[in-house]
Amino acid sequence: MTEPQTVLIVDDEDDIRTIGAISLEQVGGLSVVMAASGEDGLAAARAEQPDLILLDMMMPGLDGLGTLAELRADPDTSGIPVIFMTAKAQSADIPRYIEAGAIGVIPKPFDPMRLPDAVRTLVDQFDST
Amino acid sequence: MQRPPVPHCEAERIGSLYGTRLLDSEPEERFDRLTRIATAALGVPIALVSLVDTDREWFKSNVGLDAAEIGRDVSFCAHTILSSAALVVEDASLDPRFQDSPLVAGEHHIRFYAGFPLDDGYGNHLGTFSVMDREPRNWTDLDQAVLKEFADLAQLELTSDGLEASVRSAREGASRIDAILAAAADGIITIDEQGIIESVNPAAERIFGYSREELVGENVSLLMPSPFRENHDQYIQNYLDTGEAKIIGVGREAIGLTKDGKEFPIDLAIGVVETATGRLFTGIIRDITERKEVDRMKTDFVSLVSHELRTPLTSIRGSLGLLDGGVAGELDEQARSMVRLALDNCERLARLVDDILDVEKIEAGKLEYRMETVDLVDLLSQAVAGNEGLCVAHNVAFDLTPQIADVRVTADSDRLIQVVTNLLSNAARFSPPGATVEVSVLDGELGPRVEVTDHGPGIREEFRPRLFDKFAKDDAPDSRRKDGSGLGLNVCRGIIDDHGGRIGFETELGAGTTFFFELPTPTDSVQAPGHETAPDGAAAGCPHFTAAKDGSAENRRSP
Repeated sequence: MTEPQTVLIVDDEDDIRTIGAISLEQVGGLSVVMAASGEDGLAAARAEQPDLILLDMMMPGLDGLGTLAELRADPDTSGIPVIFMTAKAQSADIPRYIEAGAIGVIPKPFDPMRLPDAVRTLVDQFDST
Repeated sequence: MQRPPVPHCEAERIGSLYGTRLLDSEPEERFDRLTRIATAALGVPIALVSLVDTDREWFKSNVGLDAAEIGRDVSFCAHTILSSAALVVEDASLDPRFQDSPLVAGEHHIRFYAGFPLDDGYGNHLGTFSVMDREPRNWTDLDQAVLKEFADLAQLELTSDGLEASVRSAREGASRIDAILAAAADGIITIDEQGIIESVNPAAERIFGYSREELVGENVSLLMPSPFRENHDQYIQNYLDTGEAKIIGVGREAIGLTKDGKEFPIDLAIGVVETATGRLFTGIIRDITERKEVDRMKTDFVSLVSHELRTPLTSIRGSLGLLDGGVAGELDEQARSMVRLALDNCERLARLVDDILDVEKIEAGKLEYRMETVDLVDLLSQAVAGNEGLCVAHNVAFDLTPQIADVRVTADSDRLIQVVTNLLSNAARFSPPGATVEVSVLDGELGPRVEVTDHGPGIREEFRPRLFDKFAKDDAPDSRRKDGSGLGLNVCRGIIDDHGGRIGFETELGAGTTFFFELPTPTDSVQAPGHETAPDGAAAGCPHFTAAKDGSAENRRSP
């Protein structure tokens, strides 16, 4: 995959979705779709076919790992790269997230001025492997 | 009159005497019978069973002498107890030891004395059986033999009484232990070498839900779930065969099984007692269900609070970051400086939340590490590069000068960077403007040693012992401006300890502080080709630094 064009942000926190969207759209020049739950995220991923998904780890209902498992199980969404966003990032947890199928982790709080670059770096690293 | 000498082992003798509990006791027929018959048999007016106390001779039985006790210094018996033989004084008025004793010279008018010592069965002469007369006597062998018979009978009474006292005291001891076991909050179970339960206390009955009758005689594995149940006999056998105890003498957590089949966490401590019939194992069991629950709630709470704090922080930090980045339009200078202020404090709060979470995890032993072989100099370069912001913020420079090269350690690189970042941040905050913070790598006692040296004010002596404590902050008036959570060094110590290393500092007021940590050299240490380790551990060809005692660095070339 080259430069992502459309990014799906899945997060149950309205404010964080908004900040992520402003950052990616206005700082990064990307187009953004949003979903407020794991379930809505699955539907949006199928409908919008984004180039990348930023997925919150802790959500009520279907959480990040559960959503990722369903994305991977569906042939329509299994190829979309996923980056976890988490307030609980511990360096020792990261291999577990990668093993689950994420291409990287962005810890919260994040710097919105650097978020687009951080996302692009993770995608580049993923592409080169 | 001569004062009687004190016997060898007097303290033990007195201890034994008090153990008989005969001193100052009521008269007893078993002794009185003997003294009564002795006077008749030997034709003497006085017969005594005496006990020699620290400063007196007290009469357990007394026929014919008008006194309950006499001073030890004037006592015949105090002399008799000095040997195992009889003491016979046929005419005390002629004996320099006794002639001016009040017993002899005074109203009692004693002239004759014959007595045998009585012992406690262990060679301590506690008292005597003796007879006295107010006239001098010619003491025959037959008289002596008769007196010996009486003394032997008194001896029997004395010793049997001691025996009874021992049995009584053992019984009292046992009932005291029973009372303690009954009152103990912890379950206490003893088993034999076959694992068969010999005794249980009420707490053990309560904890496991069985009655004493249901447990005694059963194998203790009844109280354990699989796989401990199946393996328990093997644990005991291993111990009996090898003497190697995995859990004897040390407490550990284990799982218990109640009568209803419920598993629950326990703290288990096992002791072993050698008895005449074999070894007994004593298990002390504490139900820690509640403690575990509290631990879990605490961990959940910290994790929840950390998440709940970080979520709004993400929004605040994000909004401020966008404002600062000019996304909502360019800010004027004053607005920008205010946004920066808010942003800095937001990051400080985020670090605090991270530190609290780390402290909790380290204390609970739940911080997970991703250990790998790490090139220490590379790692330091990364850490220094990643903290350039500190140089700008505090107007300092970082100077990384490794004195040894190709240093590999086994570590979690992210956690080690966290430690170095913390040390760099402290050094930068406490450096005067324009100063340089030096970072070096050299040979330490344990293995590679990293030093971070600042030229700040140094650490006050009063504060030094608390430096690594949680929330440690120097409360001196001029230290307050150096904002920090007071958790950073505590976290650093936890991480370095968990790596098997050590962390410390050297400081001099007005000159600066060097923080250092050492990590153990990995056993399968990989050295880069062409950089074989020199005999003193320095990499060949590298300039080598050693820290001088005053903390300043001293340059010397390695051979």
